[in-house]
Amino acid sequence: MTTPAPLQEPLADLAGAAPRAGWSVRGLSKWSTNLQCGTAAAAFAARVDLDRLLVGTDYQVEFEQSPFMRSRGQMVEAKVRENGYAELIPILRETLGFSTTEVSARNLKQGYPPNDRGLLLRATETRHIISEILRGDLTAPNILEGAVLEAHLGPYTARFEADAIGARLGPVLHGLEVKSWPVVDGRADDPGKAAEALRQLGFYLFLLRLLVDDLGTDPDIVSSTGLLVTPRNVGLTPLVGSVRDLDREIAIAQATVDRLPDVRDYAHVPASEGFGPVSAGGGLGVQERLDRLDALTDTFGTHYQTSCLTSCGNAKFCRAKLHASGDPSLCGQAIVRFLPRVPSLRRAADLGAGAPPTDEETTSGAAELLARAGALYTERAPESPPAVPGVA
Amino acid sequence: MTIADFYDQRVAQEAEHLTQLVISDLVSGAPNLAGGHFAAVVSSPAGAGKSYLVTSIAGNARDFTGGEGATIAVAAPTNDQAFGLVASIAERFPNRPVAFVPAQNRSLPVATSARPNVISIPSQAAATYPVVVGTLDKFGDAAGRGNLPHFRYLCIDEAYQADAAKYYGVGALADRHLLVGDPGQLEPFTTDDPGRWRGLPEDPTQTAVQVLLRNHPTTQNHRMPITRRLNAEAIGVVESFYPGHAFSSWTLPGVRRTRLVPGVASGEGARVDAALDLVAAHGWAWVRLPDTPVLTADPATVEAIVGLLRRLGDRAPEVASERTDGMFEPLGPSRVAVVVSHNNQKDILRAGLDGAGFDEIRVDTANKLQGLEFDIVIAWHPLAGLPEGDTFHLDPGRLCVMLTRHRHGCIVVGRASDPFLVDDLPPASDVWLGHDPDPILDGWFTHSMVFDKLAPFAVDF
Amino acid sequence: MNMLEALLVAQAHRDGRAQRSSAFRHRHFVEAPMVIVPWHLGAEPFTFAAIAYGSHPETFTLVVPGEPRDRQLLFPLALKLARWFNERFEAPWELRNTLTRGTWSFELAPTAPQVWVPNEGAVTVLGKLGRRLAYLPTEERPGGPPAADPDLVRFGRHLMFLARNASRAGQQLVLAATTVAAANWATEQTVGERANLAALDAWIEPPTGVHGFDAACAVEELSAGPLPPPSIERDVADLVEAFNEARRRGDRQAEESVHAEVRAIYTALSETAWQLTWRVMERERKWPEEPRFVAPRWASDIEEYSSHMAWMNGPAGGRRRTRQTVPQAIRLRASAESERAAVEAQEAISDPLHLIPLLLDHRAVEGTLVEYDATHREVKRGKRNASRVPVVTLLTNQPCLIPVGKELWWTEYPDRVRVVVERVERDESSLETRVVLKVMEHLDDADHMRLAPQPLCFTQFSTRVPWRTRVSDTIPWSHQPPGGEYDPADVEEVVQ
Ligand code: SF4
Repeated sequence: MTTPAPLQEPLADLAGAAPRAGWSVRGLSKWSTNLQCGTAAAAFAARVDLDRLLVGTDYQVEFEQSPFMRSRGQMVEAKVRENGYAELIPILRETLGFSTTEVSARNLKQGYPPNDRGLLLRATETRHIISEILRGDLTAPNILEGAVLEAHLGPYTARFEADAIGARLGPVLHGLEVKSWPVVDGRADDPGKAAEALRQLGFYLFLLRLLVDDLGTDPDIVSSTGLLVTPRNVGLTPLVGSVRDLDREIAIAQATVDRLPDVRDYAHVPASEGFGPVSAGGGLGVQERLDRLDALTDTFGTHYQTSCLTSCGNAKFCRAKLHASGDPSLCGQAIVRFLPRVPSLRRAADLGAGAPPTDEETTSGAAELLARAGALYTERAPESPPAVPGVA
Repeated sequence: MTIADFYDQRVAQEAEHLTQLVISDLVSGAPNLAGGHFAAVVSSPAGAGKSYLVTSIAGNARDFTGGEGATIAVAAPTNDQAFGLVASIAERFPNRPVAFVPAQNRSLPVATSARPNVISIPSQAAATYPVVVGTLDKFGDAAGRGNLPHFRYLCIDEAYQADAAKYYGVGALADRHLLVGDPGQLEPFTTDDPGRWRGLPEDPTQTAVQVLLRNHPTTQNHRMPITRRLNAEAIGVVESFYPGHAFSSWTLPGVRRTRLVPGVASGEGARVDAALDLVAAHGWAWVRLPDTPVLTADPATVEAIVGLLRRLGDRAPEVASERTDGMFEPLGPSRVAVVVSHNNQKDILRAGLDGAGFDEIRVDTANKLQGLEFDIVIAWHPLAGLPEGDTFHLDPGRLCVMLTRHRHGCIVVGRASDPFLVDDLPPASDVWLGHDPDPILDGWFTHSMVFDKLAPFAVDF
Repeated sequence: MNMLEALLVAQAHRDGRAQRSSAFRHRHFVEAPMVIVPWHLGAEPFTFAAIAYGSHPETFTLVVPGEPRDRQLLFPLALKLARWFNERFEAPWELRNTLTRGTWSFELAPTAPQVWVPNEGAVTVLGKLGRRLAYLPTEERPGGPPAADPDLVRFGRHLMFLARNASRAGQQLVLAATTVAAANWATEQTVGERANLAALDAWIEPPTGVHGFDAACAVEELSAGPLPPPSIERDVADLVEAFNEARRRGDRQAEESVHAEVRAIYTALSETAWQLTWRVMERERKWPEEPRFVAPRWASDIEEYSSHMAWMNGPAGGRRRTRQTVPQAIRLRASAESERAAVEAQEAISDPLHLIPLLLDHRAVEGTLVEYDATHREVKRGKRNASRVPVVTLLTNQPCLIPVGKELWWTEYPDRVRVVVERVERDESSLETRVVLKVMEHLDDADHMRLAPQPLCFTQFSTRVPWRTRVSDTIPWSHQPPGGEYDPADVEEVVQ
C-alpha cells in the first residue's frame, strides 16, 4: 500500500540521504500516535522513514507485516471477487440496503503498473468513475475495487489506495474494507485490529468526501456507515459483513490532517543537522551516526511514550537515551503519575532510601510517600528466596 | 413574583405533554412489539425531574386499573434510589398506599417508613398492592423464586445505570415496560473483563436500555426536553453530554441567583475572588492551577479547594431561586458539595475540609453523588494534572455527573495543562462490532468540547 | 501501578535488576506440568506452524506440519500431540472418587493437570486451535469434510476449556510464564516489554555485572512465541513456498529436505522458549507458596477440571456452545466478578509486600492493639436493644486518613470480622495515630485479637462471597435476541 515518494520534494536538505517514506494510511496513523514528538514531526515533514533510519545499528527495529498476513489477505480478496462477487452482493443488500442484484464491478488493482504512475492513473480513473456515479450514470460501476484517492497534504500530493467503494442508487457512496482476520462466534477476532481497520476506513471516507466536494456535489452523499467484510469463523469463507457508523473516525481523519506538520518550520535546517548523516546512506560510522541522532533529537525534541515501541523506528534509541538519564517515562505514563517533581528514577530510589527531599519533592507529596514505601519495603522485603522445605 | 417570572412555560408544557403521552401509551397504547408487548424508553438529561415522571406514572397507572393489586412494579438499581422512589410516590399521593419490598437486611429510612401510606411487605404479598416498589435485584430474586405476581406494568427508573443482567430478572414481570433514565451518567461498570461479551446480544454488562433497543428496535424512544435541576446558564456546557438531544432549563435565565459580599482581596486571594465572582455571575468557573505533574491525591489541589470554600464562606453567600420565591437566603454548607474521581482524593480532601471546619460539606466520588443535587458544586476535574488520558478518566459519564449536580453554580478545578490531553488525537481504542459506545473516543470529543465551553469562565491560579 | 511499584521500578533502575514485589508465589505449581510452546503462522489464526511439547526441562517433542494451512498435513501431527495431551490431561480423572453429599453425589479427581506456556499469546493460540478442532465432525457426511479422529475433537474440547478457564481470576490450570514472573517482579519496563519472556527473565537474573536494561536489550529479539521474529518468518515463508512447490512437483526428496529446514528453524526457536519457560518456572518454584489461599483455590481448580471431565464423558461428549445463552452469560459474569474480587482480596491481604500500597493509600491500617473492650454495648442503628459491640484501639506510627464510618475487615478473618472506623486521632508530637474501631460482626472471632500476633491489620478487602441473585432459565421477552439463539455449526472449512 505504500508508494515511493515523488522525486521533486521539499525539505531535501532535512531528509538528505535518509530513506524516504511513501504515503499510506498506516504510515499516517503510526505517525499520529505521537503528535508531541518533535523528531517524529520533522521526519514526517521531510518524508523520512524512521523505521529504516537506523538500519545497520543496534537500534534497528523491524515492524514488518508477516508475509503470511499478506497472502491471507490476498486469498480473502480473491474470495470476495469469486463468481462475480457472489458472496458480497447479499452482504451489501443486507447491511447497506443495496437493491441491485446486478453488480458492475471495476477492479483498479488490476491493469495498472504497480508504481507511482499506476497510482496516478488509478486516481484519475477513480475520479472519473465517481463523477459518473454522481451524474447518475447507470452504466457506471457500483463496486469500485482498489480506488485511489488523492489528497493534497501541505506541499505533497498523496495518493491512498482504498479497498473498495460501493455505490447504491441515490446515489449514496459507501466505503468497504476487506480484512483477512475473522469474525468468530459473532465478534472480531481482535478488537484492536477492528479499531485499526475502522480508522482506516474512516480516513478513506474522509478523502472520498473531499473528492465528492471537489466534484461539486454535497459530500453528505458519502455515507458515514462503513462496512467491514471478513471471513467468518475458522475458514476463509463464508464471508460476513459488519457495519458501523464512522462519524468519529471521520472526525479523527480530519483532525489528523489538520495536525500535519508544516514543512515551512523546517525549511532552514541545514543538511548537516538533518536526517541524512544519521542514515546508513550518509556515509558516517555507526557511532557518529548515533551521535548525530542524539544531537538531532535534542534539537527537535522527543516525547517517548509506550506506543513508540510499536510505532516508531527510533524507539530503541529513544528508550536507551531515557534509560541513561533515568527518565521515568521510559516505563510508561502510569509511573510518571507517581513521581511528580521527582527528576529521575535514580532520585526516586534515593528518596525511597531516605534521602532528604527538595522543596519541590516535598510539596508534590511524592517524597513522603516514597520514603514511607521505602521504609515499609525494607522492613518486609524478603532476601533471595527463603528456603522451601523439600526444594533444593 | 409570579410563576411566569421563574419558569420557561413553553418547555414546561412540552415536558408535561410528553409525560402525559408516555403515561397514556404505557397504560393503554397498542402493543408496539412482537408478541403483544409494549416498551418505551424515556431518556432524560440530568435533573429532568425523572422522579416526577415516575411518580406520575405510578399514580396514573393505579388510577387506570382502579387500584387493582399488582398494577405496577416500580424498580431502580440501588437501595437508595428505591428508597427515594417510595418517598416521592408516597408524598405525591398521600392517600394511597405504596408497598415496598425491602432487600435482605435493608430497611427504609425512618422518615419514609413512618409515613402512614408506606408499607414494607414480603414479596409474596405484592399481589394485593397496586403500586409496589423495590430494587431490581430484589424483584429479580423474588421473581426467580416465583414469589412475585405478574404485574400489568413495569417501570424502571435509572435504567441507564441498570445493566442487562439486572433487567433480566424482572423482564418477565410485566408485558408492558417503561424504562426511564439519564444516558449521560456513568454506565454500570464491571470488574470483570468488559470485553468478554461486548457487542454480543447476550452481553450482561450492556445497559437495560441497550438490550431492550437491540432486541426490540420498534421500542418507543422519547427524549425529555427539560432539566429542572440545572439553571439556564448551565445548558451551554451540559448539552455536550447529550448529543442530538435538545433540552432547556425549567427556570428562566437569571432566576437562580447567587450573591456574595464584594471580595477585596489582593494577590492570590483576588484570583479566588474572581473565580467566586464568575460562578456567582455565570454559574461556572474554571480554576486552572499551574501546569505541573501531580499525584492523584494532589495536596495542592486540596489546598486550592479548601481555599475556595473558605473564601466562599467568608463572602456570606446567599442564593435566590424559584424555591425561595426569588428572595435571597443564606447558602448553608449542606448545600455545597465537592465531587472527585478517586477515593484517595476524597480521603485527603475530607481530612482537609474537616481540618478547616467544613465537616458539613459533602465530599464524594462521582459514582456516589450520582442522582444527588446541591446548590454549589466544586468538581475536581478528572483529567487534572494527568500525564495522559485513559479510559477511566476520559469517561464522559464521570464528567457529566460532576458537572450536573448543581442548581446554581459549578466550579471546576483542574490544571492549565489538562486541555492539552485532548488536543491531539485520541489514542487507539478497542472496537467491539455491534457495540457503538466507545468511552475513549466519546470521552475525548466530549472533554475537548467541554474545555472549549468552559474557556470563558477560566481563572488561572 | 502504585507507589510501591513505582519505587521498586526506581530501585530496579538503580540496582540493575528486577525487584521482588511479592513475598510469596501466589500460584500452585504441580510437580510435573505439561509444557506447550505453540508457534503461530502469521495471520493464520486457527492453525500452528509448529508446537513443542513435553514434561521434562531437557527435552521436548516438536511437530511441524510444513504447510500448516493444509489439514491433510496438519491433522495427523495435531493428532499425535492430541494423544500425548489427552492421556496426561485425563490421567487425574482416572483416579477420581465419588463423593456424596446427602442425596447428591459427584465425581472428583484427586488432583488436576497443569499446563505451562511461555506467555498469554500461547493461551490464545491454543484456544483458537481448540475452537477449530472441537467442532470437527467425526463422521463422514455427503458433501462434508472428511471425518476427524475423535481424539482430535477431544483435544480441541480440552483446549477450549483451558482457554476459557484461563480468564478466571486466580486459576492455576494453565499458567503463562510471563504472567507468573511479572506478578512477582518489578522491572524498568513497560507492560508490553514485560510480555517478552526473554527480556523479563534477563531483568530478573541478568548476567553478573550487566545491568538488567542492557541484558534485556540484548535478548529482546529472542521470541518465545507465538510469532517468530519477522526476519525468521520471512525465511519460513520462502521455505513454505518451496515446500509447496516440491509437493506440486511430487518431488519427495526436495519436500523432505525443505521440511527438515523448516523443522530446524522451529527447533532452534523452541529450544530458547523451552529453556526460558522452565527457567522461569523453576526460579519461581523456589519461593514459598502463599500458605492461606492458594491451596483452597487449587481445590476449586480441581473441581473445575472434574466438572469439565464429567461433561466430556457425559452425553454431550464435552460439546459446548461456542457462545453462551443469556442466563449463562449472566451467571458467568456474576461468578467471574466475585471470583476476581475474592482473588484480589486474597492476594492483597496474604502478602506483607502487597499490603504496603494499601497502607500508603489508606485502604488499610496496621497497628498494635492497645485496648480491646470486649464488653462495650450499644444500640445499633435500626435496632431497639443494646448489643455487644467490642471496641478495638490500635496504635500506629503511620498516618491514617481512613474516614470515620468506613468498613474494614480483619485480615485474619477477612470473610467474617467486619469493623467500622469510629475515631482516628493523630498525636502530632509523638507522630502516632490511635485508630478506634468497632466490631460489627462475628464478635467471637474478633475476640481472638487479644491473643493474635501483633501488629493487627484491617483492610477494605473482604473474601466473603457475595450473595447471588437467582437467574431463571426462561429468557424474558425483553432479552430474546431477534434472530433466536446462536447455534454452533460444524465450522470446519477446508482452506485449500
Ligand atoms: S520513539 Fe522517539 S522519535 Fe520516535 S516518536 Fe517516540 S519519542 Fe519520537
